[in-house]
Amino acid sequence: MIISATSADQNVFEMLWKDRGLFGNALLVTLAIAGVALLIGLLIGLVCASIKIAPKTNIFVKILDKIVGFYITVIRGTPTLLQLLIVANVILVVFKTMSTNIFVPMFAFGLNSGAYMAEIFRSGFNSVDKGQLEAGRSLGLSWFATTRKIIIPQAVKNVIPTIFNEVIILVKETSVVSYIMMVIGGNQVWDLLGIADKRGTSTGEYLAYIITAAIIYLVVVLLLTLVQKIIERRFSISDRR
Amino acid sequence: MIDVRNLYKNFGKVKVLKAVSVQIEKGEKVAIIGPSGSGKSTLLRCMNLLEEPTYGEVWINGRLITPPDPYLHREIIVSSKTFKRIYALRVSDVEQGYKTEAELTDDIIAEIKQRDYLRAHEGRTYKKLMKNVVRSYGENVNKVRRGIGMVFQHFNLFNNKTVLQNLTLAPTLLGLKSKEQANAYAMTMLRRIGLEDKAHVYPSTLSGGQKQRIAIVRALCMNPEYMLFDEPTSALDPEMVGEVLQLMKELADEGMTMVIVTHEMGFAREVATRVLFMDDGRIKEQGPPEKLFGDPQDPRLKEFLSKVL
Repeated sequence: MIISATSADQNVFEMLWKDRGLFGNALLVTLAIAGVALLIGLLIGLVCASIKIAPKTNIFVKILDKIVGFYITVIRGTPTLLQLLIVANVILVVFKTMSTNIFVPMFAFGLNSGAYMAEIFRSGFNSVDKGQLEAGRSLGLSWFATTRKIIIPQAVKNVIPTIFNEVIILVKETSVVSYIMMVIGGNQVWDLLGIADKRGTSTGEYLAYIITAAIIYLVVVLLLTLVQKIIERRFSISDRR
Repeated sequence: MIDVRNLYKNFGKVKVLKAVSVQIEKGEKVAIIGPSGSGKSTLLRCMNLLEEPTYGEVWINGRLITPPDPYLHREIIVSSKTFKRIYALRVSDVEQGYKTEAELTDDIIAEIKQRDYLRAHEGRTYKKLMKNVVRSYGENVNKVRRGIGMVFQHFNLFNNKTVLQNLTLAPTLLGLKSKEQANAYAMTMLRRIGLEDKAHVYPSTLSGGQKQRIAIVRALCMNPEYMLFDEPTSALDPEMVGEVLQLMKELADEGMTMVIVTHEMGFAREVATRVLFMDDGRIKEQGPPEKLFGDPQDPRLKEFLSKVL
C-alpha cells in the first residue's frame, strides 16, 4: 500500500473516472454474490427454522433437528473468511485446480447467512403469539397449513428489520472474497474491494481508490435502508388503526 | 358425545388433572367452575387435543382422538410382557396360589397401573392390540376438530387477516365451502352480530367485545357440533362482558352443545344444564345449577361459592 503524490499531469479524479467501468462491473459482482447468497440464505433459513419449531413427533424430524442444530453451531462458531477459504480449498483438493469461480462465494455466503437467517426466523416464529397457532389448529387446520397461512406471514413481518440488518452485513461481508481468486471463463473477476485494492496499488493512489469503494458500499446500504422502510410500511397495514 | 375417560395430565412434575372422567351429551350446556389452577382450562383443551393428556382417552362421537391408553383396556394390559412376567412370578409363588386366576389378574393390573410399569416395548401382541384400537376407533384429530369450535380467553383472531378472512380462511382452505359460499355465510353471521361494517378491517382496530364475538362467529362458520369456551369473558372490560354473554346465550337457546369454563357464576346458573366444580385436578361435584349453587355438598365448593358469590 503506497500513497504516492499525484503525478502532475494526471488528476486523481480523472483516474477514478477512467476506471468507472471497472467499478461498475465490480459493483455488479458484489451485488450478484450478495443477492444469490441472500436467496440461498433465506431458503435455508426458512427451512431450518421450520424444522427447529416443528413439533418433534417423529424420529425423522428429530434427526433433521439435530442436523440443523449442528449446522447452525458450526457456521456461527467459525469466521466467515475461514469458511470461504475452506470451500475454495475443498474445490482445490477435489477438482485439482486453483481457479475458483463466482459460484464459490455465492454458495459459501449463502451457506453462511442461512445459519443466521435460521436463527432470525426462529426468533420471528417465537415472537408470534402461541394462541395464533392454537386458533388455527382448533379450526381443524393442520400444523403446516396454520404455519404457512398465519404464522409465517406474521413472523416475516416481525423479522424484516433484522433480516435487513443481515442483508447489509452480507453485502459488506462479501468484500472478503478478494482473498480468493474468482475466474469466469478464464477471465479473472473482482468485487468492489478487490478492484479498489488492485487498481489502487497499480496506480499508486491507494487511499483514493479504497475511499471510493467505501462510498459505493455506503450508497448501496443507504438504498437498502430505503427499501426496508418501504417494505415495512407495506407490511404494517394490519397494524393500522 | 364428548367422552373423557380417566384423564391424567402432568406438566413435568405438576399433576394438573387426576382421573377426570366426564360425558357430555349433545345439547347439553356444561359450565366448568373452580378456583384458578384447578385444571378447568386444561380439561377443556384436552377435549380437542390442544393439550395431549398423559393418560386417559378422549372420544368424540364414538371416535378415539387420543392415542389409546393401555390402562383402560384390560385385554391390552394382559398381553403385555410386564404382565406376563409378573403373572409367571406370582403363579410360581405357592403362597399366592389360593387366588383365582381372575382375582390374581386384577391384582396385577392394579399393581401395573399404580406403579406405571408399562414400558415402550411390551411385545408384539401388545403392539398389535394397540394398533387395532387405533385402526378401529382412531380418527384424525384435524378432522374431528372441524366439528368442535373453540373460543379462547384472548380471542386469538388471526392478526394478519381481515375480519372476513378470519371467518372464511378455515372453511375455504379445508375445501368445505367455495369462496362465495363462505363469504356469503360469513357476512350473514357478521350481520347477525351487527358487525358487517367491520368485515374488511383488521382485528387490531376492534374492541375486546367485538373481537370475542367475531372469534365466536369464526368458530360457528365451521358449523360445529360442539363449542368449547375457555374463559371467554375474562380478558374483557366489564362493559363488554354483556354483549359476549348475550351471544353465547343465544347460541345456547338454539340448542348448541356447549362446554364453558367460566368465572361468570350468574351466567353458569342461568344458561348451564349442568355445572362441574373442579378443584385440585379433580371434578369434586357436579349437578344441575340449582342443586350445585343452592345446596352444595363439597366443603371446597362451599368455600369457593362463599368467596365468589
